[in-house]
Amino acid sequence: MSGLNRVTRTLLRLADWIAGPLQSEWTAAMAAETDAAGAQGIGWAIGCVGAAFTMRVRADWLRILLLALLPVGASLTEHILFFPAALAHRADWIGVWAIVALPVIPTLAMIFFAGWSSARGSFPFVLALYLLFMLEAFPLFVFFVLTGSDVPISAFFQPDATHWLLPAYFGIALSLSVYLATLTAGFAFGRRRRT
Amino acid sequence: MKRIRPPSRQTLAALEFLAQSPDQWRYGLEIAKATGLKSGSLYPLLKRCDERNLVESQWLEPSEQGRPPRHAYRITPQGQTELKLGRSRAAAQSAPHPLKEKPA
Repeated sequence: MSGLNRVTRTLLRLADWIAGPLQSEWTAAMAAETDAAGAQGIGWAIGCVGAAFTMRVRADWLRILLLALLPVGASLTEHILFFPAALAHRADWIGVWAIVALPVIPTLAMIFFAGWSSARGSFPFVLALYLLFMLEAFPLFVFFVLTGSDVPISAFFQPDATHWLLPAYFGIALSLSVYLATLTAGFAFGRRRRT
Repeated sequence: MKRIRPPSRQTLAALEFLAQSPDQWRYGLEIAKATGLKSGSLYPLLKRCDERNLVESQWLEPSEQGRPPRHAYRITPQGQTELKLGRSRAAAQSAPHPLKEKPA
């Protein structure tokens, strides 16, 4: 592939990453043809990225849909279960740690399943980022949109603010670590089962 | 049961090009040039044809030294049958419908 410039190479690597290991023969075919395309190589390589996306979605659409929906489901589960748990605690039906356990356990189960389902090839960094965004940042966004609140975002990090009953910074760091660890555990478990 | 759709117009165009010289291996760039297809549509189409055994593919050694081997494609007998069916379907669709013709 000596004739390829840096941009073209990057595009072909991106196509290879998108297409996944099962389509490697086809991405190699596209790369060889890009090399032969000469001056039109960049245009051809851009098309290859689109082709890789189409091939991956066609071959793997159910798993892609599942991995797109699982973080949304995990976020919804966590926040839908939190409010009844908090009300039950207020009525003295459940202990304080049950407020955390009731929403978090099913959420962690979904994250583990997401990790297990993605256990092909390398670690799913994009899924991890998407998951952390859906669980930590997206609920804040929904809160501000639904309530039209003018509370500054810094209020969530004031000394008396809490996150999962812990000081805010510590609570956020801990929950991000637990989510990431659960995803990694699911990925490792799935990988071991498949090899 | 998996549903098998009839080949698209673009697939028929690619098969038509390959059928012009059924014994010859053709490269992706040649097919793209002849059919006007871009790489983004061509490769998913070729992969589908390969899976349905309408074309066969193989790696060919390059003519120039220092270049990578290239993937080449050739129409199969099944592809030729599918092309004939596609042609007759297209002819039937373009023929005037007796019930839709306006009276003179």
